[in-house]
Amino acid sequence: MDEQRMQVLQMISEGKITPEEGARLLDALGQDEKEPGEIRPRPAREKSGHMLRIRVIDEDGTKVNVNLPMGLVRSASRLATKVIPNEAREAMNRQGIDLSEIDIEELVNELENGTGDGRLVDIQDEDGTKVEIYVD
Amino acid sequence: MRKSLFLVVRVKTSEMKRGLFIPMPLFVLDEVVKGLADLAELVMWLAPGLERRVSAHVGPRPVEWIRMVADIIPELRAYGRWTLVEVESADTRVYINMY
Repeated sequence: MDEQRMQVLQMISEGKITPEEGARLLDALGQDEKEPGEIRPRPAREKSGHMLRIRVIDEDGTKVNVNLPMGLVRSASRLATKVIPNEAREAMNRQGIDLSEIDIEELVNELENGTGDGRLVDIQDEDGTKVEIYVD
Repeated sequence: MRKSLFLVVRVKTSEMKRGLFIPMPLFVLDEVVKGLADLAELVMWLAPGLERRVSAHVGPRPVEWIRMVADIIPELRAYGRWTLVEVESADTRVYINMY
């Protein structure tokens, strides 16, 4: 299907078809990709590509799902370093942790792109409790 | 993409017949928090001693705290319709959705 899209784009660049015609063709190709009767779920977000998902399934069947857009994680992380109280900051400094040295932006980028399948944490306890943290 | 307009908290328990439904208008909250930040700025300007006392305990200036919340709200709104939290246990269900 990608090859057909490329052909359409090439035809536009060569002036064989107008951009409007090309857009219609690309739309038609997009329709073909969908199976008949298939209802596609609405994307959770489109602003940034990824979502940090935290899934906890407890032994008694309790399920917790938390979904955080990576853009939100990025903003919240930047803010989090600012809201740490002075006393806590000093205590961390005494332990040799300098918050100013932590590049939050890079950390979030690594979270977003660092692992192949996006899986950050996957723990299954003997009693059946399961914790998963992943980016998709 | 259309911005989220409401944060909706839904709570259902086995004892509740219809459950609890709490819609929170994010577009209103957005404006309220921005207004609060301006108000806090004014209060801190009128009473600088208060600002020093508060900052000594909590780190950043109170105005910065409010501005941080004000920065988070547009981020929350930027993704349209999505589910922030789902909790399901034997007799309780809690959902926080953005609409």
